[in-house]
Amino acid sequence: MKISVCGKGGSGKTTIVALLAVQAVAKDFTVLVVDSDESNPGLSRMLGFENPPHSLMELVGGKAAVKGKMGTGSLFKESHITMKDIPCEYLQGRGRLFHVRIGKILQAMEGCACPMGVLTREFLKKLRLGEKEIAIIDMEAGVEHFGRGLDETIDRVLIVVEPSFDSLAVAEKIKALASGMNKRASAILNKTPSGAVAEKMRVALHRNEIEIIGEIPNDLMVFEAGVEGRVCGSGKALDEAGNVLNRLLKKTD
Amino acid sequence: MCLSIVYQCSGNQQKEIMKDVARIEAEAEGFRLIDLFGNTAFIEGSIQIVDLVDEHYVIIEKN
Repeated sequence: MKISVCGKGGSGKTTIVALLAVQAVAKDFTVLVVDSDESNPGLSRMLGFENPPHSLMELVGGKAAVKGKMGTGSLFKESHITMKDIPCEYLQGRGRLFHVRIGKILQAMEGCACPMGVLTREFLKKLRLGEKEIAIIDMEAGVEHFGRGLDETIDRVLIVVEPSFDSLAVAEKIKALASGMNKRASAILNKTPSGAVAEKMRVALHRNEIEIIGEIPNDLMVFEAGVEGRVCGSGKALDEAGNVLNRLLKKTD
Repeated sequence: MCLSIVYQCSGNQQKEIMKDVARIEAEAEGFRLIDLFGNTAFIEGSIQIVDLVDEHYVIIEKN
């Protein structure tokens, strides 16, 4: 199963990705976390890796190659990619947790992130997973990834919604775009400070017929871990992420 | 998406030659197309349209 985690910038996508990954490993899945956000650098650390893997952008020769002779990208010439096919320097791993990174914008004036979008789309399209394997994709903020077709081969779209008007508006847009691609999109409430605020968020999401499959509470342990660049290894947020994962894994409900 | 799809047109017919094209090099009789993954194709003709905003496509007309 391929699960994309989407939402407004700052809504907590990366934290949710890390929490879901921890829970998926605990449920005996082999997990591939795909960092498709070309800006935020912290996911590797949150997953407990000291250094990030080389990016898949480097595998095809980097953006310099795009401007010049072009990359070799032999991995991408195959019709299918499994986790075993990814060269080890491009795949971080520990136990059943694996991590790939598409690429980051590193310098001012280096140009747009479109090549990374193509790389993500092709990687997800070719990626083949076994029955006990899950890919969790940390998408770039906002909705442009739908325009780029990145979600074409995604099984479930998870929208992370924080308590703000903008976040609710982005959720509504994601739901519409996902529906247009026949993708099931579900929301989770994140960083809810109180029951009253959570209820207002629920009303707004239900008004737009957005299914809610969980509520990650405003857990101080998550914020403490976040500041230190690590995933929170226990607490209410992690427990609730486990419930969210169970609901995502259910084929029908 | 900045990367483009290149079509070749001949009369009313339009054929997709390559997608995710990252670089186009002019050669004597036509154009060398190179995609993000290093695949190349050569197409004879002259450029008719380059759309850089909406659908990001290039139409090359057969001479």
